[in-house]
Amino acid sequence: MSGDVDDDLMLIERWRDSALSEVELAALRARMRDDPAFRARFVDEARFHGMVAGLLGDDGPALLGRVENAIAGSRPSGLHRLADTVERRVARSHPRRPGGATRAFTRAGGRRSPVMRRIGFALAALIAIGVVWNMQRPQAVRIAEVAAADAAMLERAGVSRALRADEAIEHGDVVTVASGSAAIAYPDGTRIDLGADSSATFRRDGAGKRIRLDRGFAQASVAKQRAEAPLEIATPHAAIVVLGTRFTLAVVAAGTDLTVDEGRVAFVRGDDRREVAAGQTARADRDGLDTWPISPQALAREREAIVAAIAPYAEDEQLFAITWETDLQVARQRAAAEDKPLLIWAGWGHPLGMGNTETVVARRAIAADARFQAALARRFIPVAIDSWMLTKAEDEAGRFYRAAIASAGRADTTNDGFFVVGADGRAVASCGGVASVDEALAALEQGFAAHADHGAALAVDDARDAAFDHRLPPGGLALTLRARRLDHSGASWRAHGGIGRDHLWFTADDCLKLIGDAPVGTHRSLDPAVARHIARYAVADSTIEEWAEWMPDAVDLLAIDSEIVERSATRVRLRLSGTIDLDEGSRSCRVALIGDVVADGGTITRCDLIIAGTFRDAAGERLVAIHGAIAIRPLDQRVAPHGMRDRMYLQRD
Amino acid sequence: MGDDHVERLALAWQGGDRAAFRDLVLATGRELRIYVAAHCDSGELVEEVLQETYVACFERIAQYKPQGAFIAWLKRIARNRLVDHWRERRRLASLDGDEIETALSDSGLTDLDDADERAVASARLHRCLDRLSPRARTLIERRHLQSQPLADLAQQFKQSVNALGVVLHRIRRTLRDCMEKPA
Repeated sequence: MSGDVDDDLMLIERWRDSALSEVELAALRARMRDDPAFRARFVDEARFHGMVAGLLGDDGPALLGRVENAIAGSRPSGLHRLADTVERRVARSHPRRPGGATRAFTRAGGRRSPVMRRIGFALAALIAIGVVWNMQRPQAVRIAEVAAADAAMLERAGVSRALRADEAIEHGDVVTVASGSAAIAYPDGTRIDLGADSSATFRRDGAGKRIRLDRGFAQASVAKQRAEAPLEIATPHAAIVVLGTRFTLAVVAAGTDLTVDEGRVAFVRGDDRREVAAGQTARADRDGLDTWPISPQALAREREAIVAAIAPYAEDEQLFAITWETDLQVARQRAAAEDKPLLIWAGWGHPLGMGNTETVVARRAIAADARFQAALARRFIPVAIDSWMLTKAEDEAGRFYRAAIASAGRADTTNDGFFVVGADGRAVASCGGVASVDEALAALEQGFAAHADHGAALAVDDARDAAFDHRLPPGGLALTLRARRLDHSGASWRAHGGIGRDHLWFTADDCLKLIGDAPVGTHRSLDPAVARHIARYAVADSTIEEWAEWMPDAVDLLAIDSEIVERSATRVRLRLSGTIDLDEGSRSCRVALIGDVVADGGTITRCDLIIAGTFRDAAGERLVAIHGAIAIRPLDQRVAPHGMRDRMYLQRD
Repeated sequence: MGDDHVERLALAWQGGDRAAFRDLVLATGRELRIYVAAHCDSGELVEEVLQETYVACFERIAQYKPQGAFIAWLKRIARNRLVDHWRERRRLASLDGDEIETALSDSGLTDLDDADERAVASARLHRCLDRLSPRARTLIERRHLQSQPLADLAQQFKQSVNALGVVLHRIRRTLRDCMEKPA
């Protein structure tokens, strides 16, 4: 055991996680019996854990909500509660997992302990008494009926039985779905669909519909409700107040997720009340309420419109009308072979893959100008490079670049701009700042004339500084990323401002993890390393200032589901869907992500990522959408991602 | 929240004011939680006892004799619930010969005799939890409130299971040190 924690303390941690084998558990019991010091320590530690857990709970609205629900219709009858309590206590006393004992026990399936058998007889007797008691109940209030039921149970007045289609739902009924589903229909057309592993209590408060969703998944289609009698759904984390809409709720231990398809829903946690509109998603958990401007479902529905809004205009693509080299060493070899000077376009961030600062936009306009391109094509070897990389690289390319820039005698610190450099490594002309096309053309003329007077080309050493090697790793996959700021109104998405460009690289290992080996129909979380790589390097607003990757601890929420929709001997297709919350204090973002990935013969042939959401920083809040797709142009496959500045980019942090 | 205020709420509720019951739960929830947490071995048990206490309280408000000690009355109800709970676990543990459960339930029952001392420690710990750094608080909440397995947390925090065990142990040791100092 390393550090200052001993094996006994780790044993307690593992016991809490129910991670001990039967042998280890038997050994633990023996030590509890035979070693008083260990027993005292174990109990002290376990009790302290319990005290900490208990003190962390909510003593405000959440506690009040549970108490009120217990007092109102969702409270089991006295007899049932007694039986339920006994069962919980028994479950807790067996292969233990504090906080999750009941579920761990019931899901173990099949094998009941002797104690559980004893309790089973007691429960049977209690339930029998409950049936007699139930027969004496006054006429119940019918509030809805069962539209469909599959592997679902109805619990009424302490008695559980199979839920039947077309039967009535009464005030206080609890519907529990194990592996199937259930649909509850109200007379006004409101319908609640419950998914697997769900439990909901149905009540009526005057004219208002009341549902408590303790766990699971509910899809609601709610008819127009009277303002004074809205439908209210309570979960352990929040309440949803509805006057008429369609939405989906997913309740897990950690929180409640709400996705609104139509209309608006009030999402309430304590004093915090948020209006969640169609297409948005929200989460309530211990930390409070959070909303996302667009849900993955809405993103999937509006994918085509968003991709169309992001797509580059013809003038955006003019930049690529000439063949830019992206590797200085390759460009130098060409320059020597063709006896032409180099035209280095240097940017603090790759000129062909970065944002929209004033100088970047100005230089991009020059590089896209037809006269400038014509002059380049005939007489120069054009190369676009990230000056940040070459300023630091300890190899031949870095030294050549730094010497060339020094010879230009420029005073700025980032060494950005256009430089005409002879094959001997000396800059003979340059053009920085926010220059005009004419000024740039003049620099080309001056540089070409001066180049003729310079000496022989230097030999090119192709050894690379591995830390700044900006070539796609073998077997890797390059994606182009395009981003735009958007306005969203109704179903329309309108772009404004310039396009942001970047790239995303996956290693061969990432590609394998992305595809996975799960069978068709499987839902799983996307591999954490790949998911974090996407979150930290692809979820970025490249439409504005030069940006950096997100710090590792900026990832507040990363929930990306991967569903295998097709798998054959040669072909795999999967869909990605999820939400990402990043926060570094001075900047943050909340986005939804969807993806469509296809692999043929083990090679990824399609990888479409759509990311959309709000980005916040000192400049304010804005809606940004990003489209990632496999880089098709050879040039795009060679432009290093901005995230390459992070040394961990390809090692995975 | 003063005792007078709580007493007025209790009287209003006794007089039929349902809204007063809500305020009463909100006004007493923290103190009752601190008391109950001192005597439990899991967050789940704390929530169960709190809920049962307030439900019993709701059903028996007519039995409360106003004498300025409503919270003490609540704690007596909670204590009875805890006694029931630990006795039942002790009985079942004996039947099964489960040494772990026996030790825990013995401890639970014994500690109910030192209720005041444990409640003071629990109140100190409650304050100490508020002093944790955000990162430590997040980690301790995920581990103890959300019962996330150590292996999952290790993955989330990019550490080995053992390293995370060390971090958690250090946070708890800090909490114990803080708890043992008078406020």
